[in-house]
Amino acid sequence: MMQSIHCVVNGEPHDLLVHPLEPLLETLRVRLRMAGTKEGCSTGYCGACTVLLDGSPVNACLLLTVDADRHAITTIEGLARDGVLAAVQAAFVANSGLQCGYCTPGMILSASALLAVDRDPSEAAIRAAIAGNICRCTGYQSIVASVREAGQKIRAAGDAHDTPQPRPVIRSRA
Amino acid sequence: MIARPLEYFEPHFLEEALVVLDRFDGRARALAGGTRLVPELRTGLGDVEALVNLKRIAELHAVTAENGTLSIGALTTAAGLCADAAVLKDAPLLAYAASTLGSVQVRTLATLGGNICCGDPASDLTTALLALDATCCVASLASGERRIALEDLLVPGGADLRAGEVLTRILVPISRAVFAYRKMATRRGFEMALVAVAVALERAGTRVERVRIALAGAGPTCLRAPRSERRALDALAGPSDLDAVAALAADHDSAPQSDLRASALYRRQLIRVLTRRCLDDVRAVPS
Repeated sequence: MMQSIHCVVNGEPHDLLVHPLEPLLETLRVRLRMAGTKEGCSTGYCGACTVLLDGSPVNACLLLTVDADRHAITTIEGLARDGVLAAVQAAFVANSGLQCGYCTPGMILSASALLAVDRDPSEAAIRAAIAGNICRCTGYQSIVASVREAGQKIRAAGDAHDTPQPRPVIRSRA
Repeated sequence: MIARPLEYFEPHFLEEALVVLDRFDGRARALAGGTRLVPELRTGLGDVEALVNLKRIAELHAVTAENGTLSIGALTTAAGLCADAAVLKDAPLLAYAASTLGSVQVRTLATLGGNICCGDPASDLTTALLALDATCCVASLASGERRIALEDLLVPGGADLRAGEVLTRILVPISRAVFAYRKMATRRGFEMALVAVAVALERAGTRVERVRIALAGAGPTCLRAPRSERRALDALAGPSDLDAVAALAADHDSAPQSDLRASALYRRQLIRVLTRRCLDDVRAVPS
């Protein structure tokens, strides 16, 4: 009992046969061998597995892969362009917005989704955007500083190429 | 690793879903946003034999306003409620409550119908809907559609659905009410309410016509506060003290429980204070 699905991961189309109860997290890490998306709590609380579904953050542990059918997924592997880090990634490096690094992919994707719609977010908006991403090293100050600097850099660059704005290639049936 | 003995269905039409739910006679689970159900898959769903994924059914995603009623499909997500023009215009209380639910990630997935059916006694959405006097449409193959007041659908731990039934849409009467919503949690982001209070006030000029007060974290389900509502009708008409109204909500309309997150005593205090603040909020809105 497998389901045939078509989805776009980081701009690449994939036709997959998946078990209907397989979470997207498992599909990404095991089937597609993209280990950048981390497994934390597996219950939707920690945000380590955050990916973007048509640009919106979701917990990959809560989404069945069948429900990614005809949608576009962005993972941390999809942010750099031609080996150049996206502004958000570069800002996390520059501001030491990470300690152990386990929450970082999820943090960066949540931040990317925020900056795609708000390039000059308030601190409150930044903190609300990453409320679903837990950093157990508790390095939130530098994470918030990273997001703020990424916003500045993106505004200075003045173009949208750095923020992922994936669109579904095929319209959802729903 | 997930245990996988379940039959899986992905209907595109409500009728198909009802046929499957009817065939399994209570041993099929409906899948909506998955924020509750998908983690449960890892530990097993007990004697559930089939999973019916409702996401492909277009009509369950529809939001329409006609004849003075807002009809919201049960599969509308929390993020959808925050962004939908009709919800923002005709049920802003619901849009606001939805914006306080969970995290960004969870709001992308979690649905209105799922939220109601999970029976969380601290549900932001259910509390807002109670203050909005919402009615639920429930469908089954055997009896077609029946309508039931949200209040009557809520039972501790879930929704009072019969075998084969599914919640399809939620009806909210469009009114000129003013609203207040206040929520207290142990932190600002991504936390369930210890207590939340929603108040809807309908006025005609200076006359107070209706007051509805709904409480989260005040009992085994989200609930209305009838004694407090009756007292508020008079109290809100004049300059009188609203403390007595809030005290009724806390002391007579509530039966809060103690758990890891807060004691019943603390919850009662919160109900009193937040109810008072909500009443102040709605009274401050010029009529």
